[in-house]
Order: sequence, then C-alpha cells, then structure tokens
Amino acid sequence: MTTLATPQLAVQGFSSLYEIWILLGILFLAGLGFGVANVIISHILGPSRKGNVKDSVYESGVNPVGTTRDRFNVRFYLVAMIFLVFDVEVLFLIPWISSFNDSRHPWLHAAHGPLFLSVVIFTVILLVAYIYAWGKGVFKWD
Amino acid sequence: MQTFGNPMLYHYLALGAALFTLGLIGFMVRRNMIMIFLSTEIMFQGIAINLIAFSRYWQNADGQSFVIFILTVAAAEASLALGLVVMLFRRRQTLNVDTWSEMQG
Amino acid sequence: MTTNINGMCPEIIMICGALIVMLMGLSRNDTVRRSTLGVAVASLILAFIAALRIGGIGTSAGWTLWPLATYDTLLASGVGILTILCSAGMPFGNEPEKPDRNYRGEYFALMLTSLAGVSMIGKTTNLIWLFLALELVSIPTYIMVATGRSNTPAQEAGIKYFFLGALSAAIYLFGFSYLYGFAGSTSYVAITAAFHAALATGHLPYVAIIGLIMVVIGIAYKIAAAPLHYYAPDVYQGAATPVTAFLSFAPKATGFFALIMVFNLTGWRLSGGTARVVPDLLIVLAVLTMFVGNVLALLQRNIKRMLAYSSISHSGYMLVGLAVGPFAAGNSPASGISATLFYLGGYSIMTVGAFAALTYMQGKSDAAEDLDDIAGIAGEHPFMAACMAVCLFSLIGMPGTIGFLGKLFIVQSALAGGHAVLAVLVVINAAIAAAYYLRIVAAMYIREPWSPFAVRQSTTLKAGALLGAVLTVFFGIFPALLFHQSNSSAAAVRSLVLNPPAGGIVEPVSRRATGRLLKSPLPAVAPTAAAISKP
Repeated sequence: MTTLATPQLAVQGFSSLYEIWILLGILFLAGLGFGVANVIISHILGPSRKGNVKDSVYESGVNPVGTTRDRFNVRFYLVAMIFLVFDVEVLFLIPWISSFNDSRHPWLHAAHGPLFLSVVIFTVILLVAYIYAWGKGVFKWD
Repeated sequence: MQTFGNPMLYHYLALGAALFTLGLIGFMVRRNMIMIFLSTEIMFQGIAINLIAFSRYWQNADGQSFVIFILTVAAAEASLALGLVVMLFRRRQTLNVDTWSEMQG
Repeated sequence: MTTNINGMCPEIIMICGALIVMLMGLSRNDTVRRSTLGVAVASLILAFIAALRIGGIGTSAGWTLWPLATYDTLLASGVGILTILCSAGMPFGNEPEKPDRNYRGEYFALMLTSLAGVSMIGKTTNLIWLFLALELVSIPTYIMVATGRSNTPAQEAGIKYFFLGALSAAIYLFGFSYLYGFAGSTSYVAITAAFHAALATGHLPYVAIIGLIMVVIGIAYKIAAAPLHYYAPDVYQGAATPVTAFLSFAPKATGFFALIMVFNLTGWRLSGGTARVVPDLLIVLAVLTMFVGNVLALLQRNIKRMLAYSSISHSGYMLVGLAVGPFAAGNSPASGISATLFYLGGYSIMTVGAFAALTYMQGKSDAAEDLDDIAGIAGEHPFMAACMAVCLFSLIGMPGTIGFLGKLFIVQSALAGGHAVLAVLVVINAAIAAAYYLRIVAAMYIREPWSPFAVRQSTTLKAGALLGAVLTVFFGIFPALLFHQSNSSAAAVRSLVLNPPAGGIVEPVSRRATGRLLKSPLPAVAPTAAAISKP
C-alpha cells in the first residue's frame, strides 16, 4: 500500500497515507462544525421577527406568489455587487491554495513567506472593501 | 488528416475571433445598455478562448492565469456597469442609448 | 512583476493611502472627512520621495527600465498632487444634514488608485501586469466621471466613457492574446526574444502584426487619438472640471507609457516587409489626431470642449515623437521617445494648471463653461486670470514656457529622424492652435464682463493653479530637471533595444517554428503545473 502510494504522495508533499486521512477528517469536522455553528449562532443572535413574509415557505425578500415578470427590488443590485466581489476572490484563492504546498515547484517552496503574505494583503484589502460596504449601509435593508 | 475529435489550434482561434466579432457587432447594433454591456462581455469571452487555446498549445499556464485576471476585471466592470445602469434608469426610466445624446458638437 | 518589491514602494504607498482615505470618508465627522485631501496629498508626496530614492535600483537590470519607471512614478505622483489640489473645487455632494451623500473619501481613494495604476505602467514586465495597470487606471475614472456631478450630462458622459472604455479594453486584450500566441509567454523578455527572432528572419507572422495593430488601436482610445476621439469632448464637457483635469492627464500618460512598453517589445524595428504597417499606422494616427483636434477646437465656444479638442491635438504631437522612435540621429534631445516623454510631462503640468484656474472661475456651481461666462474676468480676478493665461500660452508654445520646449524637441526629433513632413505639420498645427487658445485669453482680458462672477474662493484651488503656472514657467526656463529624467528614460529604452536581455525562449522549443502555428493540433495533455513560468 505504502509503496504504491509513495511517489504520488511525495509529489503532493505528504509523508504518509494516514496524513491524508487525518487532513480529510479535520476538513470534514470543520465543514460540519461550520454548518452547525452557523445554524445555532443565527438562531441565538438573529432577530426573531414574525410576519407574513417571515413565515412564508421561501423567504428571499421577494413575494413568492404572483407574477414572475415582476421587477426585482433595486436594492438586490447592491447585494449582487458585494457577492461579485467575494465570488471573484475565490478565483484567486483556489489556484493559490492548490499550488501552495506543491513540492513540484521548488521556487514556490522557497517563497512560502511572501506567498502567504501576499494572500494576507489581498484579504486585508478585501476586508477594507467589506468594512466600507458595511459603513455605507449596504447590508441594511431598510 | 484531421478528424472530428482532434481540433486544431485554428479552430479555437476561429471560435474566439467569431465571438469577438459577434460582440463587436452587438456593441454597435444594440440600443439597450444592458445588451451593449453583454456584448463587451462576449468579446472578453472570445479573448479568453484565444488565451486558453494558446495556453494549451504552448503547454504553459500564462494564458490561463491571464484569463483569471480578465475574469476579475470583467466582474469589476460588470458591477460598475450595473451601478451606472441603475443610476441612469432612475433618471430616465429607459435604457435606450439613443435618448442619451444631449451633448453635440 | 518587478524583481524587487522595494521598487513597488510608491505604488504600495498610494494604495495604502487610498485605503485609509476610503475609510476616513466613512466618518460622520466633517473634520475627518475634510482632512482626506491632506492625507491624499501626503501619500503622493511620500510616493514622490520614495520614487526619487529608489531611482537607482538595479539600473535597467532585467527588463524593468528603472529610469522610465521612475519618470512614470514621478509624473504620476507629482501631477497627481496638482490634480488633487484642483479637486478642492469639487462639489462632493456637500450637504451637512446628509453626511451619507458626501463622497469626498471615495473620490480621493479612486484618484489615488488610478494614479497607482499610472505609476505601475512603467514597471510592468508582463502583459498581464500591463493589462491590470491599464484597467487600474481606467475603472476608477469611469466612476469619477459618472458620479462627480449629479446632472444628466455627467451621467451621459460616464456611460459613454465606460462603454467605449470596455470596448477599447477588449480590443487591446485581443491584441495581447495574439501576442501571447505569437511568443508563447506573456513575459516581456520572451516576447522581445520572439520578435527579435522573427524580425531577424525578415518575416513577422501575421499573428504578431494583427496583435500589435489591435493593441495600438485599443490604447489609442486611451490617449484619444483621432479616429477614436469621439468620446473625449463629451466626456470632458460632462465631467466635473477637476475630473476633466484628471482625465486630461491620467489616461494620456497611461496610454503613452503603455505604447512605449509595447513598442519596446518589438525593438522599434518594424520597418521591413508587412511589419511596416504598424509604424505607418502611428504616423497616420499622429497626423489625423493633430488636425482633427486643432480644427474642431476652432469651432467650439464651450471652454471645456475646446480644451478637450486641444488635448486630442496634443496627443497628436506626442504620437509624432513615438513615430520617430528612439533611433533618431544625433544625441539626446533628438530621440523621439525623449521628446514624447518630455512633452507628456510638460503637457500634464500645463493642462492641469489651466483646468485648476478654470475650476476657480467656474465657482461652486461648476457651471460657467462658455467663453462669455469668463469674459472680462481678468479685471476682477487678475491673479487667476494670469495663471490661466500662462498655462494657455504654454499650451500654444510660447517661448519661455515648457510648451515651447516640448514642441521644439518634437520638431527636432522629427527632423533628425527623417520625418521632415511631420515636423512641418507640427509647426502648422501649432499655428492653428494659437487661434483658439488666444480666444480664451482675449475673452478674459479684452472683453467686458456682462454678469458678476461667482468664483470659488478656495486657497487650495488657488495654490493648485499657481503651482501649475509656476512649474510651467520654471521648467520652461530650467528644463534640465525634467529633461534629465525623460532623456535618461529614452537612453534606457535605446540601450534595451540595442542589447535585449538574453533568455526568455519558451519551451517547448520545437514549437517555435511559428510558420505552422495555426495548423498544429493541440497537445492532448493539459499544461502541467510545472510549466508555470517563474515570475
């Protein structure tokens, strides 16, 4: 088993097969924890309002009953814009993470510090954008 | 001999150029601002196809990383275009570009 | 990217300044919001100092032309300070009861970001970086045009500028994709090597020629060269006057630096065979641009439109310098690149100075745009009228101002490069241009005022106009400071072209037979990650 897996693993930068399973386990637990924590936190912290819209089956800010040719509220545009920003962020993070620990690029290995720092800077700039959007009241509906 | 399953580089380039040209035509012919914007997006997609095909041809990733940056900039432009369009629609209640020609000379 | 992160110091300072200013603009406190102008100017001054200090890093090591990059950064931060002083005249949606509507912070953040883009151009070593720098300049300007004023012409101008800008981006990107296909890499070193190899055989593939032409056309939009100038008058007229000042500087500087970078790739030697099309295109663009700008400017009564056409014509003069190239005979001032760069610096200073004075005269409403509106203003506001007149005389090319020296160098380089016809056309155009600039001066000094003036009393704005006028005269009398920079940049370009950096041939080498580029099947395997070229 180990003999078969070794060359492949070495390429990926892992020392043994167990390391992969441990990592997968951590990832699984983190994902599960994230989902559960979000549900619980929003249950505790979220405002519990009642009303026709809140009790409807599909609550998205748009009346689920009626004509489908209705115009969307223009405030969705701001949500779409913020979504676009963070959607594109992932576009850069995925190539970064997939090549970060790849031992096939010795020059990448040598540059771990700058590589990590550059992504931190990237995220900080996005954070500033987020704070700005917050300050401008983009996340307030009313 | 060329078969169906083995497209040549120029097939991809032709597709890219065709998309680019379609976008260009759309840009000039369409009168609705959102359609005009979508036409520029189509042009960007044509360029992306060019870059990816060349990237495959040269066996390096320069073209692919270029495409990622193009997509980013296109997203930034899309959000900007939406903002402008919303602003203009509030003022004029129409998105026809022909109504926007106050300045002449 | 540059090999040394220290080289990016000025841009990093500008971007940090932009982020700080953006967050400061969120404040509810009016004093904090007002101090954004100071922070913006301070970050530009820091960037200016940083550029001077790093000027000597690895002189022309690798591909980065440090003298050219330094000149670019100095220009971006120096003229940037002028445009920010000019921006003191912006309305900024100032309503005390609605602090949400105030966009002072955003405005300066956008301006600093755009200036960081201008300053990046000279440091790019890769087509991807060039593309990002060009867009970094453009995208903020779209927003500045559309939101700088809340009236309909501003929004019309914004949407026009945005759509045509996106179109031009698509056009030069298409060119970039073909240049990548030609060279097999987006790095300047590899593309230079590919051009040298191809030009040595005397045959440049059509892929490269089409790519170059599309890049030139796309960037010609940024400098408002003649067949692509249609947006310029509308946008200049519609935008708020400080934004117009910025537009007359940032996209133009960007475009010219980008053109220089792109032609560096070709080695400026496109004289043989089908490649001749590209330099011919430059000459046609230059002549058209000069004449269209100057002749149409004669027909205008709106000052901002007039200055828009004037900016078009000045692009034409600078294109003459580019068409001459770096190989003009004789010593330094005769090089076309040096003349273009010197003219770019001089033009930026004098035009921003003129717009600063115009902003002052237009008052708070930012309305007075017609020649009648400033008729006789010299009697009441002699100081500002004098600043404006100095800048206009420099735009004409009066001796003793920087505009004169700029035109002189352009004509000199055209004569030295064997383009005598172009030199004559520049002189003819300078004569035509005098007519409409003098109309503004005459309106200010000779005519009687027909209504009271509502000028904008702002010390910052006055300082901006004064600085512009003083620099115009100062560099006109002591050009050495500016000239030294532009000349060493041109020298760096020339030495790069004569001794291109070695290496950069892209693997797999067997594919370099570009003749069969189009008819080859694509490899079945995807590019391996190992093939990512090192930065």
